[in-house]
Amino acid sequence: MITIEIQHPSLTDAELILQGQTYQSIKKNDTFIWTVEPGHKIEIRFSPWKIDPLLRINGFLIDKWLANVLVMDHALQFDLPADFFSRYRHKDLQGRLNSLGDNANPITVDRVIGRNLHKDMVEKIKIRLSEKSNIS
Amino acid sequence: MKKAILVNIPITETLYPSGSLAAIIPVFKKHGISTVIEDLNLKLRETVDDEVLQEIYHWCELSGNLSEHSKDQLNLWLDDQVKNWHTENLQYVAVSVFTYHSILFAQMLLWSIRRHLPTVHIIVGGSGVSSNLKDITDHIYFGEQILQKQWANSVVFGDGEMVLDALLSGHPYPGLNQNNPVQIDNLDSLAAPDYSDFDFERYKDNRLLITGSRGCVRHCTFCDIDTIWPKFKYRSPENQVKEIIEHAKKYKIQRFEFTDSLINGSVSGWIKFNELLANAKAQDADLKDISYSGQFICRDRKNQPAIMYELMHYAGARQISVGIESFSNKIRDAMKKKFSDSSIEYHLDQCARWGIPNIFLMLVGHPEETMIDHQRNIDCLYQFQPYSDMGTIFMIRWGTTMHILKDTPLARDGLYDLEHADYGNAESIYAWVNALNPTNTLAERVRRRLELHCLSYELGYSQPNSRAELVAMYNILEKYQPLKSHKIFPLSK
Repeated sequence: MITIEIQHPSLTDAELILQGQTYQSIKKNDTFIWTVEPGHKIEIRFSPWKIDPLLRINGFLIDKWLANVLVMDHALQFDLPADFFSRYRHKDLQGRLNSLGDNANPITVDRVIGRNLHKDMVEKIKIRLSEKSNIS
Repeated sequence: MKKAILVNIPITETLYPSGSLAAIIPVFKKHGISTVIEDLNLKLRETVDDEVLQEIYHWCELSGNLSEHSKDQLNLWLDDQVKNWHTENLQYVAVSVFTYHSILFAQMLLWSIRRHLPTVHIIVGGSGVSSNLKDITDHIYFGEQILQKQWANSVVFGDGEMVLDALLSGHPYPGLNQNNPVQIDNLDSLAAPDYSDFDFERYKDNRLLITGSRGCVRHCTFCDIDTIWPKFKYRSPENQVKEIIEHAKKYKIQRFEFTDSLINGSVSGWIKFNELLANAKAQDADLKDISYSGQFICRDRKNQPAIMYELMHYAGARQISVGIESFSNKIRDAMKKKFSDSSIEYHLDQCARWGIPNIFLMLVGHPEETMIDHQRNIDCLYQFQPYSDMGTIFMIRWGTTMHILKDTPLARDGLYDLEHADYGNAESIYAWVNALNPTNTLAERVRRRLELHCLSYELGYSQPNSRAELVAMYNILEKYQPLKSHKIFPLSK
């Protein structure tokens, strides 16, 4: 199960619709909370219109661009597949990589992205450690 | 009009202008001296190929040698730079030595300035002048070595603004040519940094530095910050927000990075700062994209109220670097970090809730670290993986294994019976063994570090600069022999 919440100081009402079914929410101050199974075409309708509520999934504030959330003046619409979190992560890393341009040098990529095993260095250190181990 | 050239040298950040130089520009201008920036740190990155640059960086970091050929090339390059500085009204050259990672480069540069600009008054400052690495600085502080060898006319120890002002006025002042600086008591009395001499086009990040405080409220055993700033001093929140707004409007900059050792040293001041900045952003559309990053300390829950994280969100907290150091509570206690496992979990939950990305700064191989503590680091990588997936732990840095610096409580207070430790010697700050924890050798620390690197990669954590750290560890292993009497754990788990 996944927890979804929206928050805005002006929020008065909200409903979540998933596959034609409207889900009950829990309201806490300026926040509406739902617990749902992963699924497609989730729509959260809110009032008043023309506000931009914060969206959280499992307690994480969501970047709506990274999560491919369609933001409308009265609703948020998005997919929540089982692999939502890994897709979100992938788009985040890809976005950061793209921001460096096509010809970013490897040192910059390592500083900004840092997603490289550097297998050659790992192996070199392992060999050196083995040699030192044999000496002992 | 008299002129001063202000020089930034490796190794400092190349993404944005030097805050140290921006802080002293108003002092020169107050004395009617015009200023020109020479960012050799950036110029080196712009002009030298990556392989040579890495060799120079490792040499600066004291984890690698510079070949004779590279040394000659670097000397020639420096000579070319310095020769171009010559102008009739040039009166001062001020060199900023940011840390001990800048000392070797500074030595080479100072020789070059002395040779090519013999009549210019050379001033050297920055925390690097207070470093004492005996094999590099002849058993004394670097600033004292500079004066003894007459590589410069003046050395500024400690905070630069007041000492430099006294120097240019011709008055004596604590910290001027003597390692007896006094900490500036009222940071609000300083002029705002001046970035108008910088060519912003050359810096990749549209970002400026800001100083909200100096010193730290903690006394972590591995850290020497209290030798530079014995007391924690912070600027008023109103003054900090005023500077941010002025810079945002003047330079069209929206990103700010704090130079502070910790941005939340005063909890009430930190909350007030965020409240003021959030309000300013809400009221002025030109400011709405302002964001900041900085170093943050994790505290116990009662000192990290939920409202603080909410205000940080609205004020534009873009990224915070947090010295977690170890996921083992025992090791953090030994370091005097003063926060619990549950504090980390609460902090992560709040940061997740308000979209505040963290860089976790870690230390591998504390003198008390055992395999149980190492296993705790491994376990927590699994536990906190969702926070990495969602960018709350934006990055994790495991460093180059624990090294022990002179002037830290670890070295100074004799907390452990450390064999082969020689804190003043750059070549052995890594190669110590705690007599009461003898299996924690240099090789074992590297092995643990390597294991954490591989697991972090496997679990999807971002690790910035990991290649540089791995190369540094390899070079350290190349240079040093572990103690033969101590067992080294096998490579496989």
